[in-house]
Amino acid sequence: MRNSSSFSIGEVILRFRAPIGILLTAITCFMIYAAAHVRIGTSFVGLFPSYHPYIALNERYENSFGGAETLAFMLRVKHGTIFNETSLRKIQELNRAMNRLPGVNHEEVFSLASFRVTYVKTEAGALINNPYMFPKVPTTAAGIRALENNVEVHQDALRQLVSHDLKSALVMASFNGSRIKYGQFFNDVQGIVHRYQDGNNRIFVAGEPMVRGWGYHYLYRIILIILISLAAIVLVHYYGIRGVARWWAPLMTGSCSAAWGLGFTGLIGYRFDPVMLVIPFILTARDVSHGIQWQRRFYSEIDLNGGDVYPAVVNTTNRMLPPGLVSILADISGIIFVSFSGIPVLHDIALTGAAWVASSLLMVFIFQPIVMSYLPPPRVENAPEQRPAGGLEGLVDRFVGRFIEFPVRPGIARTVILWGAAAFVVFGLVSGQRAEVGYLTVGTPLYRPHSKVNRDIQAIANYFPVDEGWVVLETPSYPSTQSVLGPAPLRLADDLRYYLRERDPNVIQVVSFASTIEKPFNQMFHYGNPKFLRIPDSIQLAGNFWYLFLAGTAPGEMQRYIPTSSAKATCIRILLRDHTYKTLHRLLREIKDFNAVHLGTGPGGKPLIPGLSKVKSAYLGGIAGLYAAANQVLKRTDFFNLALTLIAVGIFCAIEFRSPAAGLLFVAASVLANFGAFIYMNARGLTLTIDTIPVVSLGIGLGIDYGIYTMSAIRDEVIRGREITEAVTSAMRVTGQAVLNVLLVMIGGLSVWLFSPVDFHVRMAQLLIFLMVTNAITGVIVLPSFVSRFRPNFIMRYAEQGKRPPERTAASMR
Amino acid sequence: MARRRFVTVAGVALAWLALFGVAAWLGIPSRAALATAAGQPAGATARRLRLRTWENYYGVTILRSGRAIVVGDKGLVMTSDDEGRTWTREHLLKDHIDYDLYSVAFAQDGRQGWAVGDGGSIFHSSDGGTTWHLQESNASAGLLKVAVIDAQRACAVGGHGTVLCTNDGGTTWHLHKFKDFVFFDLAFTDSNNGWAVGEFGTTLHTADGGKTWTLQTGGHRSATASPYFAIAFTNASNGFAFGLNGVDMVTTDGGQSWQTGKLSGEPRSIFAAATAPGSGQLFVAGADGTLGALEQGKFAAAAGSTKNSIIAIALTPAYGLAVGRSGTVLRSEDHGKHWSPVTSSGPTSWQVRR
Repeated sequence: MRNSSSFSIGEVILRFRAPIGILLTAITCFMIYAAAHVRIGTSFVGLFPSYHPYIALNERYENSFGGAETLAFMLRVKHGTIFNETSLRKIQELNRAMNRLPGVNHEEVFSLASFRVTYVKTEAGALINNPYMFPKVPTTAAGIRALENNVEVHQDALRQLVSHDLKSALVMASFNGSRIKYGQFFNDVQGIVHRYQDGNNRIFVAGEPMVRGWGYHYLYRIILIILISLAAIVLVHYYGIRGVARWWAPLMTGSCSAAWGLGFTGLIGYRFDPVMLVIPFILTARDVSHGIQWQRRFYSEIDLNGGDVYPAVVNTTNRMLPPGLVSILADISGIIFVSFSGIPVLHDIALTGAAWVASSLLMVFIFQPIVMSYLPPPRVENAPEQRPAGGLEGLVDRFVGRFIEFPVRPGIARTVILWGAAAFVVFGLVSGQRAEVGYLTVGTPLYRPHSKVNRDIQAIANYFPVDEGWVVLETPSYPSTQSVLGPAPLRLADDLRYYLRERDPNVIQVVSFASTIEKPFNQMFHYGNPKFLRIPDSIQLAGNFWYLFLAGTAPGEMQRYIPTSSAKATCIRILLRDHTYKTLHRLLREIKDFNAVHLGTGPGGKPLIPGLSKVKSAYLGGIAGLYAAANQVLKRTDFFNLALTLIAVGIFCAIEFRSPAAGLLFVAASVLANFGAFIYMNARGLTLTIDTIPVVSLGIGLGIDYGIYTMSAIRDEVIRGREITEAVTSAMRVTGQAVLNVLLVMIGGLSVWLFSPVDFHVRMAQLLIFLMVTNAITGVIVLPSFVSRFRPNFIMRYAEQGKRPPERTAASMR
Repeated sequence: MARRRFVTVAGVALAWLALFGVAAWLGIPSRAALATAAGQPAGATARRLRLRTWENYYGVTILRSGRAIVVGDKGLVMTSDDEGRTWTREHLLKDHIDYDLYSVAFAQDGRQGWAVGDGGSIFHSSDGGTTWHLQESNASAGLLKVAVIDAQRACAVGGHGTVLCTNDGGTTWHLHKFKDFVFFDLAFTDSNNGWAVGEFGTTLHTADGGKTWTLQTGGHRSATASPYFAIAFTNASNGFAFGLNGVDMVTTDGGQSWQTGKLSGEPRSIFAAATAPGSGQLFVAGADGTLGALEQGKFAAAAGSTKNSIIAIALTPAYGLAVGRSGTVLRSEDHGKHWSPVTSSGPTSWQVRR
């Protein structure tokens, strides 16, 4: 029988088991070595789609206009105002401490104590830029009162640094992300807070480096959770399989796949952000899950073959490899399409995930059989059907026994299930249609709303803008009247300020060379008369102010507004209260509307407003632009990914079951199982963000294999000559049990993540548990019900073929 | 039988697919639906004035009907018919550009009036400020102040030595240029006599309703001569001019001669001066919230504090308004003794979405 002339993949594998086994072992050893090079790290820019025009704009100007990664300390006094010597001195100390942080952009440190924060003063024949509180903090009561008065007079200009109630002051700086070591950075910042905080002066911290830094703070706890959850998987699996011999095989397979996956990660140099460590865990759990399916089938084949290992291995491989291949391909397609998003981090995660899942194909369906074939037959005391009904296994047995007859029993319950499934599909589709993108709150969704990091961000956002977006005017060079110093472009910049402030309560301030420098200089130049707080009426005058500002301020100050001496670009900085989807979406629409009116053309293609024909308005740079770009890409990515995954599932299943109808059925089943994710996300207020999308994508393929295994088991039973009702019942007994066990193992591992300090982990674990339950219900209840109710041709034709076994099972012992 | 089943299966699956397609398609308009209407500025309906710290008001007048008109940034004209409680807002454009408007004034009839501003823009109203029409000014300099003699005659002054006058209701404006000086304010004591004040302590006088102007003081560039920003007469003989950092000038002979440095008490720049009808009391306002009355030659600050500069004031027996930087609109109901903001109080913080 071993010399069957027909092709059998199981036979081929076993025929070359020695060289294949050695090769796979060698590669695994190499991958373990490569896995040792995996590092923990964070790439902030990698979170955003690199090809997107907003990102390109940001990259083009970030050296001049300031990096997107900013950190802010807010000092808030409990009693009185900040105008006392202690608080003022602390502001100065915070300014200095900020300047010493590694990775800080020294030209981008701002506070009341900074020499870069100045006001214009007229003196006989000159305009003088004076810092408010540099180099010395006033110590006399009169000096402090003078400072307070000065701040009050310039309150609108100081909107970013001193709160309206004069109880809060901000010290902010921008950072070069590539030079930040987030773990150390977090500790440095915490040290600063502890050093300067006292009973009356509380210090709050916000900023993207801090949000990322908290992940490093929790790193050891996250690693502990990974270890405990792996232990939970081992325990649940061991208990579930009741310690039957070779119970460890799926775990071995999972570990080897993990070695391949991590090795691949090490080879491509991707660094895991601590928060993202949930992903390798999910991938490992997937591998183990496939391994368990194989192993359970192997046990039942051992039973059927009277304890003979060789035919059991061949049969299991022949039966499991095609559906396994299909479900793994579905898994891969679920994640590989994410790499097309153009977001570098997602690209790396997608490649890693795809390689990882692909490796489980080799491990589960080639390596595991080879290992099993070398070992003596496991002593299976009694067939699954005859085992004593106790423990977890007994529980699962009884549970499976209860619904095993369900799909084949015509009646109201089955009709309700099928109609319920259809209703669920509609509900899921509606939820999918309403799925929201981007952030919902000013804080980070990675952590709990009341966590320290979010409380700090909210405290600061109560008084100060925390996000900024750039509109960049790109023009001909000075002295063209259309250069950024020409009256019309200056007016355009100032008009945008007014337009946004007038319409949008989320816009806290708009800072531009026109509004912030030219207009006040023009006023000062005209005796401080407020009627001259306006755009200079000639480019010569504007050019003079440009020069005066350049000469009177610290190096680097001018670059924040106009990056080069040719004056062909200028930054309009829009300070926002948050970066939620709604805020950004509204802002983008407003900028578009503004440009349509102010840079639009009248009849005959002539510009409506003269002097702007060569002016281009590029948007949106800054951190807000990064988030906006991600928002635009993510929704597209998610739907693109879902659609392609469904197409892939359809094609693979159509091939496996040799029927387009089967493909469509599985597409519908996937929609049913996975659009539940949107129901869950909408219900829990989860949105698609750069953080959630890789996990959601992983979830898509996560449970498709349940249905595929069940359906192929039903088909195999029909091929074996059973009546459809009998085939469904018998397939359900083995597969239903395996699916439930796998489900319990996965839930066992995932539930440990419910205790993670990172809220993101908790929500993702809940989402994945939810998804696996819907997949399990679809796979073991809805699909069998459908098959026994509608008796699709792709199953029934084997019955009509008169029980002639197809070639694939020719090696079968029976 | 098998074919029928296949059709059933495929039909159900196709229906689900179609639903998915519809939902994905609906996903696009749903994002557009998120784009709810933005907070558009109030159109013709009168609303309570919210505090707009990004907006400056430069001119104010109160008509005999009690209607108040305020002009400001970006061609803004605001009118109130309930003594400043609610306002309508409108932005006037000249050649698609919303030039700042710096001054507004009406004739005694309360119907014919002008608003002037940056870019030489002049807008005329003949219905008490309800509608406005652009007039050709033949000037490009910013016009900082307009004074109205009667329905046909008015003068406006501004940058680059600009003094513009009309005697035909604004159909034509005649330009008198005086050097390159900036003129900030002008005032008439009767239909013929008027004075314009500006840079380098310069005063111009007209005795023929604006047809000709003669230099009275200043007139040459000097490092020591400060500019005058505001001029007002309390009666035909007594006039006052105020300027940079507390400089002042007084006439007691109907503007034939002017004496400087007679007043004292306020070192900050004064941007506006106005005489209260009835009492004849002179009110002044200026830099960093300066606001008060002149009593026996001394500045007496009124109650109510703002740190924002006040740029224009208008008083009637019923009420007074003072407007200025960063959304400042103050109202007094006790003849200028107390002033309080008419804007709904601005937030010192805002509620953050959680």
